[in-house]
Amino acid sequence: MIEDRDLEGLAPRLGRRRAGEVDPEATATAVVGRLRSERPVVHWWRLPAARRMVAAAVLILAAGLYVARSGPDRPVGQVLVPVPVVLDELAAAELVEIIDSLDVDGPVYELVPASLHDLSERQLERLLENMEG
Amino acid sequence: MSLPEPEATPFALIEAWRSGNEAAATELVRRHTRALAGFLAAKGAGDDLDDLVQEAFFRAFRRIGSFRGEAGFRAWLLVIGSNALKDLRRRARRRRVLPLEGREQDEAQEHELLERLEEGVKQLPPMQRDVFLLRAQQGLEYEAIAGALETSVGAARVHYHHAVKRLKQILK
Repeated sequence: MIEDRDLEGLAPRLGRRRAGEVDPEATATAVVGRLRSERPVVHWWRLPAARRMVAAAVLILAAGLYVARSGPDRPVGQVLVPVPVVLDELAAAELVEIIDSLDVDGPVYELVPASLHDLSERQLERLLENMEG
Repeated sequence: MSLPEPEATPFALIEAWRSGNEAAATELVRRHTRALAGFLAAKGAGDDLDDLVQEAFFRAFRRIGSFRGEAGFRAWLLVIGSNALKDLRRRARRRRVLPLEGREQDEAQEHELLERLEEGVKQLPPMQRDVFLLRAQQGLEYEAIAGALETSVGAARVHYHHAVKRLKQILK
């Protein structure tokens, strides 16, 4: 009667001989070649990191606009330039177009916060409400 | 294009590949080819083992976005390979995938018990066979096996127990 340990000792050898006939280098070359031939061209603005950076830039700009436009002489919570988009779905060119369309002038730039952390909880809440429409 | 670090994790290699680094994909294939080939061979893959291994890797890269890491890259890859083998058999239908006569000659010098074990493994029900190979051949933890096969750790242990019991009966 075969023991458990004998079985477990043999099992790692299953398929080993035939696996040894498969060349990892040749396999890698074939797989990567096939991937290359079927892979769509990846533009830099489609890369996750680049898209996140652009999206973050737009978000911060929108936050700055919010702060600027909801000063003491304006009704609280009124955002004049909504950002009614799903940022992650936009290409860089589309984001640039949105940024260009924003009515940004001097005072706004002075008030743009360094990050979303500069917004109060209330300001952040209103910003998100407005962005969600 | 920079070469990946030798100790780069699967996650790092996958991220590099998704950023366009082909060397990262090459490294992933290099690391796992033999394990995948051995697993598929033990499951009864035929003369087209090379093609099957390539197909499994290709499928894995195409759906790399769905890899979450719960089961570990190797377990995830082996299950994809197992599915590729099933698809191949389905397409082949009545065509015999295993040219047993030729292989028996090739394996004449192999230990008799190992040959009998190979035949025994092929007789196991699919779930028992997968769990046994992932555990005993590949040395994976039950948690990784359960994650890859979308079952519970307890169920994976039971399948393993039954597989061992059945193999011992076949081999006695």
